[in-house]
Amino acid sequence: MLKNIHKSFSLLSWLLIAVAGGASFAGIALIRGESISSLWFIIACASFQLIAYRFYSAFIATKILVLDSNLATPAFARDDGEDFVPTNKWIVFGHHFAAIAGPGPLIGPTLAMQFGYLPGTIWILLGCVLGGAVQDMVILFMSIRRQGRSLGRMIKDEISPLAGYAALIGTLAIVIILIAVLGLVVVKALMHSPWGTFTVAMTIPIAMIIGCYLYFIRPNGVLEASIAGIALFCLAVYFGEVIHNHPTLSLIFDRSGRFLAISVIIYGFLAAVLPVWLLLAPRDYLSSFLKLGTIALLALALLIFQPDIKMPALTQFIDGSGPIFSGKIFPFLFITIACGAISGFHALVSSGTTPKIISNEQDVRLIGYGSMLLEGCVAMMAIIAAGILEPGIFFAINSPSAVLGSDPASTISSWGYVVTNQEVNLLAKQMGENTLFSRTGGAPSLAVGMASIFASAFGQGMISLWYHFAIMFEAVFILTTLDAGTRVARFMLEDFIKQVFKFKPKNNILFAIFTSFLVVSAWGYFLYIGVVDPKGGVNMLWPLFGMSNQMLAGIALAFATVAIYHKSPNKKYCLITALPLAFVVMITSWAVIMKVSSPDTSIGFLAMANSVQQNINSGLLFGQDLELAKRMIFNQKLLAFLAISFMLILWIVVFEALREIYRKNQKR
Amino acid sequence: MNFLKQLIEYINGDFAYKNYLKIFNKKNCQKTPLSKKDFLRQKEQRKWQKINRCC
Repeated sequence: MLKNIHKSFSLLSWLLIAVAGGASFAGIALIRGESISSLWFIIACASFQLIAYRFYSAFIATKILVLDSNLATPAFARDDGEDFVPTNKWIVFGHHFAAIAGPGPLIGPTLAMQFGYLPGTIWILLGCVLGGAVQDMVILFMSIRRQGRSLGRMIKDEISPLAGYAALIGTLAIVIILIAVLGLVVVKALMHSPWGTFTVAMTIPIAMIIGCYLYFIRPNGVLEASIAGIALFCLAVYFGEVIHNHPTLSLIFDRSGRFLAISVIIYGFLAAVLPVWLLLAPRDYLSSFLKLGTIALLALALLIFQPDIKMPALTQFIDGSGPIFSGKIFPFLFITIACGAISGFHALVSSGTTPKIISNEQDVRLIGYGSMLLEGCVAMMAIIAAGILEPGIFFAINSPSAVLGSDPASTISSWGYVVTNQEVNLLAKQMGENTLFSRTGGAPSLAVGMASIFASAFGQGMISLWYHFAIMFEAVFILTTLDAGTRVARFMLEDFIKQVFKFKPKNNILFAIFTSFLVVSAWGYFLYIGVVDPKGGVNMLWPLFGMSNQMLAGIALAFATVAIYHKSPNKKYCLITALPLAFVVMITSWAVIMKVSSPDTSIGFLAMANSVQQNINSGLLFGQDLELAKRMIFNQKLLAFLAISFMLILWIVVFEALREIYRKNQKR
Repeated sequence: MNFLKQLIEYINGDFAYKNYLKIFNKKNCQKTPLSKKDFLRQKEQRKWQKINRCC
């Protein structure tokens, strides 16, 4: 009797959640008016994810992966007190979420808002529950069943060595492109912003002080040191206003993009070669706490304030003529929003530390699937934060100056989003910035949105402090990804050189400096060409990052498909990864082909190279302009080569995966 | 409360060091275990040789 009541109550609850989700989603898709409450988005996202978690992840866990709590996980089987340590599931959840959630789910959805809120929202909701979360959960499970092996090793062992090498090169490439594009976002956010530059610059000595405290005084004082560090970060935000208002000091911190790019490159090099305890580790502690705290605070503020979304559901830029990046929804939405929907990089984390510390196989569902759902929520918060801005303001901040021309307000108003120069300048003044026109990269508009939400929920008087807090928050964990990525890429390159060339360095320090230099030069080059690009660099580098991330997702899903196909008695079950794989392969290949061969110069790398070549042939360019044009042709061809390489790497792995399935079938 | 204690121990590295000592004592070898300071320093060094921060 009691069981029946419980069952009926459960059914009714899920029915209510489904109705609430369906109604909210219909509202988001169908309401066409001045504005729409963000509450619709919150309810739709929560209901959709709850249902997916309760039913779809349960289906994967019980029917496909057949999770078994009686099997010893690597944490128990190989418990070595160092890498393999059984850990509380909620701590592993926090650890895994802090590792996967970087700046990607905040920046990508912000940029994709040029299409309106609807395409991004649908892709985040569907992509996350059917693609990203499935990938993370399956790879985590496969790694646990293989003693915590990495994705590259599993591919090498179970698909082929060729596929393993392709995955290794793909991983190195994505790290390089990721760092370049994140560096670009930071540079664009701090350009000619004395307040922001001062605050972010101060985080470096603060992290070093914390590092020294932890190294020399109290190695297990992470908690108190992190609280003190975050308090010092907030003080740096506060004193940034003094710098901004000071006539001389503001000039010291008012820096051009080139200066900041070179500073970021030098910083990246130092962070890779300095001992980890001095800069990288303390910065990571601070950024992890700041990241989790700010995301929680933003969610709370959204629930209190429930702001209205002013961006329309769809804009005219779905035709591909967008000012932020060029190209139609298909395929460009799906490579602009990678993190938050499906991100291949997560597969590296899911086959890294996490499988080595999980104590119960059943927790794979919560940690693998659940963490990705939470990242989807972060991406939805970014959609809301960008959507609450007036569309005219959003495009004023995110459109490059080359598109806006000499009268930015008139250009934006001609698109149908009325805005005046005075409005934008007043907003810049309120935020404590010199200007907000053409502050591309996504971070400034996200910071304006976050500041508006925080100020509405917790007090309007501090909006400029909230803006710079948001900029500091974004920059701090972008720089942490930059530090960590450079260091990891250095180790990957060292291993690669040692293995391929059978090289044994006589001097390890010199070898580390040499490989760090190579890695920093690689991403530094792309960062620099992004910064000096008249169109702001985002149009050039973000799609490349998206394509590389989806390439890695394709590689991970190809392995997952092979593994499920071999393991599961019902071969149809491999469709749960094969269908997202087919979508990712199609979308990535389509995007690569468009980016390389489109005749439109704002999309196609080669079309742009040809156009510049025609300018050179016409004999109108001389001296420095001629040199710049030649360099631009080289850069466009380099980007085209990289994009094609990503597609080839993906195809090699998919082909090898299919061959492996065929080979095993022949043996049976 | 118990979870909070575990969380603080995890963040501060006490949890990792306890586990290290537990395994070290199980191995029953003649060597002296690393001090907490040295263990945490080595742990930090190992951590940043792998990918543990994403995009």
